[in-house]
Amino acid sequence: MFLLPTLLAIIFVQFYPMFYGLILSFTNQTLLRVQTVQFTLSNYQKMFKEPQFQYSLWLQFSFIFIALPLELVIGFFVALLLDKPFRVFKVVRALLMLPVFVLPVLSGLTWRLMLQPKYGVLARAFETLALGPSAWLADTRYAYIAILLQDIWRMWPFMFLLICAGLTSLPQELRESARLDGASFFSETVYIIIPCLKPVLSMAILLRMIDALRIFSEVYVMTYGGPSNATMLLSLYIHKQGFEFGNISYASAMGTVLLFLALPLAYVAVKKSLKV
Amino acid sequence: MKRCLIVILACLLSMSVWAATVVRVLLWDDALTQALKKGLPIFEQATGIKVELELVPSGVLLSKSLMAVTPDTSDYDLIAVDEPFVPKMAPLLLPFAQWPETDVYPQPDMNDIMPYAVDAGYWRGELWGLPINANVYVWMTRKDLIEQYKDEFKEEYGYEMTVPYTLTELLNMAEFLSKKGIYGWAPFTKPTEGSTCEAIWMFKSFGTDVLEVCEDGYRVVLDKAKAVQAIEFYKELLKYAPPGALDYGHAERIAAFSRGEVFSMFQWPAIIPDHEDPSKSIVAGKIAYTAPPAGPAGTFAIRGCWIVAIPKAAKEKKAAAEFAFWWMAKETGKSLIPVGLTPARVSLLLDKEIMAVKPWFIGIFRAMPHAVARPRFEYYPELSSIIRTHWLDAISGRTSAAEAVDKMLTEIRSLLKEHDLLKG
Repeated sequence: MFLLPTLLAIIFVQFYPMFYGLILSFTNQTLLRVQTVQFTLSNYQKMFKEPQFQYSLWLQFSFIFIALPLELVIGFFVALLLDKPFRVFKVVRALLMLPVFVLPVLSGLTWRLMLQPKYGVLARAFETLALGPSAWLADTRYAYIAILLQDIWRMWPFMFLLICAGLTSLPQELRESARLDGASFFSETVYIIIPCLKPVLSMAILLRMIDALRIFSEVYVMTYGGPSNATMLLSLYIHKQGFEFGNISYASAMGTVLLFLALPLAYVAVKKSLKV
Repeated sequence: MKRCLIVILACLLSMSVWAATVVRVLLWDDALTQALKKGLPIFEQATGIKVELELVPSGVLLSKSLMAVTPDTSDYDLIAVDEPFVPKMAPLLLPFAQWPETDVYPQPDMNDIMPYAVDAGYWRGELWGLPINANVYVWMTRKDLIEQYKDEFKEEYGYEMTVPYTLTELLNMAEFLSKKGIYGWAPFTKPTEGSTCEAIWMFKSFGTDVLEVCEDGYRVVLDKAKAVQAIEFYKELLKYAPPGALDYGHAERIAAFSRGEVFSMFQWPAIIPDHEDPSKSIVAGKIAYTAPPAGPAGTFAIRGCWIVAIPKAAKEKKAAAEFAFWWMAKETGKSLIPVGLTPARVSLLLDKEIMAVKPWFIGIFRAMPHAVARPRFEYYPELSSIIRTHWLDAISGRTSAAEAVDKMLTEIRSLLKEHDLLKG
């Protein structure tokens, strides 16, 4: 009885939209809503034959499998570096955390300006170092690298924060006894810290993966999915089909497929996080 | 207690009778509609109708409208529709001929509205709303650079340096000015609707359309040879564009032109005020306004007029018509043009007093007779995406022009077949 309001909220906020989306994916409904609604499998049949869907799916998962490990590695090593408190530790930690608090849209716009060939600070730096073309966002390979760099810059502090919290809760006697036994930094990290941090690392990966599957605003303002659909991640393509073309049933079908493809990854991450 | 409740109920009922009518209006957000906001108190005082005005970025107006308007319900009484989307939205709209009679502001004289602007609202023989702006590619050229280099140019090229009247002249002038450290021209190359406009403009300038409307479908009429010529010419022009020109949108173009780096380019009328504002531009007062340069097939200017339309399911149709007619009234135009309104009325565009402060209005008037529409098609967003993706691939060199046009043709035919609209 007392759980009912919460259950109702969960049903309406979480389950009802998912269920509605699933039903919608089996219809021919568009945003125009002038045609007779018919149930059909054509959305799924079209999707698996469509090269753009396959390419966008590939881009989305490549994004996850490139950005996440890099964010994890950077966050982990910076957390290790700042493991021992020093005089201005709290200030340094707060400053390092700043990118996470930048709104995705703002981050995307800022990176777009920084990569502007004529007056962008990053564009000038890359030109000096002879790294890439003058207009990164107009090049199919470098535009993708740019969105990866933007995401890594913004989200590695998130990993850092979780790992930092994990490190402070590690039993210190394990690490001290390892050092007393002559363990090197490498051995201590690989054989003690990482195994003890497994639940934290798995949770960090899971949370970032959920976020990365939904990435939209920053990529949209940076590249609009271009050039030549080189950054048309599936999340952007779903938006394009649903809100630009009005094909909401097709967009729902793609969203459903993305959800079912992401579930095994989430399952593995949760399973690892529960294993101590 | 019972008496109290009856009195309260009576009061509430009478209040609802006297409550002002509220008209909900959805428009795009730019200088024109921002100017309109300033005139709302005049409208509200004259009609007693309260206006709830919602302005959204033009790029999302279509999706916002599609989500808010259905055949049976509508969150808005009056919506702006960009002309390429009129075929898509038409099933949801009340034909202009069926708009209700109004009490305060009469229907404007349609003969005073730019004919090509009126055309923008037509689809399958029916006018679907009131055209409210004469929006068309206006060509801007730096008069001061012509004055500075005309003798040297004539010596080298053998003809007078003027505003470029042909694309060949533009190319020659761009090549000449590149030696002076000035970029001849700035393109639009972001993967958005602006690039589709560039593609259609060049295709038309070289003598080809994309689609032909038939009674029960469409024919694909894109001429491969002419399209390839158009692409190759555009690539030649790109050699004289600023660095990073393959990622050029409105912000980049405005900045480059206002900083005095670019000689000549198109601009939409709503953006031109920024170039003529001395606090934002070093080229204020130095710009000539004309129609775009002509290609081998003639002079063409992409039209981007907006109409305001009443959804069939709107609750306050009369109030919506009243607002639209107020917007188009001559007095409204005269009072709001100084604060950013761009009119669709010929009399206002050619008003000498207004032209003295808005010199680009003559550019609109000159460009309008050459106005061409983007392909009129119910699935225009998908078509636009196909055209601009392959256009940008071709002009950036990612694919050859021939390959890009082949892909365009294949995908356009596929799109038409998918909706059973391919004829011929």
